[in-house]
Amino acid sequence: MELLKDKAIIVTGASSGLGRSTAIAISKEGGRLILIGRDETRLSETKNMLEYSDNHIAIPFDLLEFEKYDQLFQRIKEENIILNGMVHCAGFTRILPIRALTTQNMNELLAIHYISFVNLVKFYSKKGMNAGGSIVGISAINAHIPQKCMTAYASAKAAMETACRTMSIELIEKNIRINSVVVGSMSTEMSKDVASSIEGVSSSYVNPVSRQLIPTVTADVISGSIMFLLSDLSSYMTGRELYADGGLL
Amino acid sequence: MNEKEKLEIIAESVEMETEELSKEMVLEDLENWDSVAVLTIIAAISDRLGRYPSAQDILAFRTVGDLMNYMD
Repeated sequence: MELLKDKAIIVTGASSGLGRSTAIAISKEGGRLILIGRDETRLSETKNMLEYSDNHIAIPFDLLEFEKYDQLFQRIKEENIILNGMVHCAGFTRILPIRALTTQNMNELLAIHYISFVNLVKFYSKKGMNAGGSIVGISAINAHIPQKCMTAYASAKAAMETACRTMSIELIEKNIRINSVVVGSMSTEMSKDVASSIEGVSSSYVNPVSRQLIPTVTADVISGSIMFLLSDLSSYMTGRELYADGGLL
Repeated sequence: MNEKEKLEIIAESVEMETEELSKEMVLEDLENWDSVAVLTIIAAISDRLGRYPSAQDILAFRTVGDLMNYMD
């Protein structure tokens, strides 16, 4: 099956975790990838893991350099690529008690999860850049179920989700759909790092929600939900959230 | 970080005043030395020094002074 045959799709955060898994899944379905990530070495590792490796391009780029987005999209244009989709997987989490919140660390989380996403959408949706298509934001269950010490992360994800819903109205005029995947507990190198870093204080910060019906999965399983939203199978969906969280939380 | 800044971070994490703390005090004896305090210390060190200690690293220190030495 080639669900995304010849579709040109940007994946941010492509050098690891969910971004890497999603890129691999898209390549297996015939898509052409524009991989974006900070780490050049790991980004080319991802590229080498893709089906039809030569079909894709990797652009090392720091998404926090907002003034360079113009150049990034210019580069994509120079490759004669007309975009059909985009997934924003870049991001990180931080466990921050209220006492530890600072303007700086709150801004950092907002910048990567929300401001970079909206900027990406802005450039993606410019005339001549796209053939309509589907944009997917990656949200987190924390935006819906409160979790201790996650104020900054949860709020940044909630801002991104609200942006998806709101932007859907203007974007449909350009035949662009936009949805988010609400990811629950997921096992990646990053989540393992977080879990081991707080070992000894409390397990409740990692997974406070033990009522999930399906046990925690790896990133490649979450990629399935992203693929559905990227593909025409979800052509009647926009401005919505798709929960990939293992059920009742 | 100077001594005063280090002490302020620890005081903030356990909701005490800097004047109430001394280097000889045992962390575990402080009333509010709990998991949130440890996570607050980790966050402050990450923000200020760009290092990401684990909870185990922090829990290994015995006194306020031991923890201050780590914040260099």
